[in-house]
Amino acid sequence: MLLSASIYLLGEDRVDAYTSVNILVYFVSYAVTRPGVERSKAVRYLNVFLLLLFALIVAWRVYEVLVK
Amino acid sequence: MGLVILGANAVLVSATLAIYGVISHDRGLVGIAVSAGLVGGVFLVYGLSRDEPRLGSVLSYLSILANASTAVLEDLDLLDSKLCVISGEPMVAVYTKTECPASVNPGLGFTFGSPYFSIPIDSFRDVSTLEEVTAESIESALRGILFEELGLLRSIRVEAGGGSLFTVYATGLSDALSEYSKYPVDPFTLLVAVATARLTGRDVLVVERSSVPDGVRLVLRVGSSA
Repeated sequence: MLLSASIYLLGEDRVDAYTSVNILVYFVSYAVTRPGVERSKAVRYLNVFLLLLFALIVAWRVYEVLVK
Repeated sequence: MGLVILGANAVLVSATLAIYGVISHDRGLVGIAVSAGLVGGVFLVYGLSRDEPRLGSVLSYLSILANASTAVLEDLDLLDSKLCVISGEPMVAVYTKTECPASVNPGLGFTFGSPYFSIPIDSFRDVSTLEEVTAESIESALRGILFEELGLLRSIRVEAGGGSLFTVYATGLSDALSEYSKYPVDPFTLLVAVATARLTGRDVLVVERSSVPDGVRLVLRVGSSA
């Protein structure tokens, strides 16, 4: 949330920027702490969903740059 | 449960904030709301999936026990022994090469000049004894315990094999159990034998254990002198 507040104070108004930064923070935290829930299907689905969302956001931004 | 409530609250607050952000055309606020919603969603998922890590701990413990009991059986030269569950107080599961003893003390010892390894059993105490011991009644009761209550398998069938012999066919074992099916102290065989002993109130000897496609086949001898 501290990161989101910082981005907001910098004047960022793109929703996907907030989303992608938070997904990145989630995966970094996950890799560092390794919460012993690898067996959990729900967590696996969540990870896949967030990764796909992140990939879509990045792909969309890349597409925008290429089209311009 | 606390994590679930926290996550649900965060999602609710973020949804409200997002609506306000859209109405007031503040896209930065919508971004913050999405961030909060993401955190809330993660809390919610982790809160709801907390039971499964507990299963992981049980499986690790089961693995340690299976390895320990295998080492004991190896040292006692009982790897090709037979399992016998002796009804009584306490109920014990005995691994021995000789015939099923009438009673033994839990732990290690000698019976009929041969070593044995016995485990005191406390499981299925609340199971009521069957009035009539038939293949159908055992099948129905075992299905109730192993499928409906514990969810350990997909289907179970019991056939009378003449006299006091019963053949149990179990298919669709859970991954956790089938992993240990090659250990000398196989948890599934133990569970079936113990449950049958509790249901019949008699001693149970596992005469034969073999693998069938997608499951196992157990031949049990049920009787006071199994």
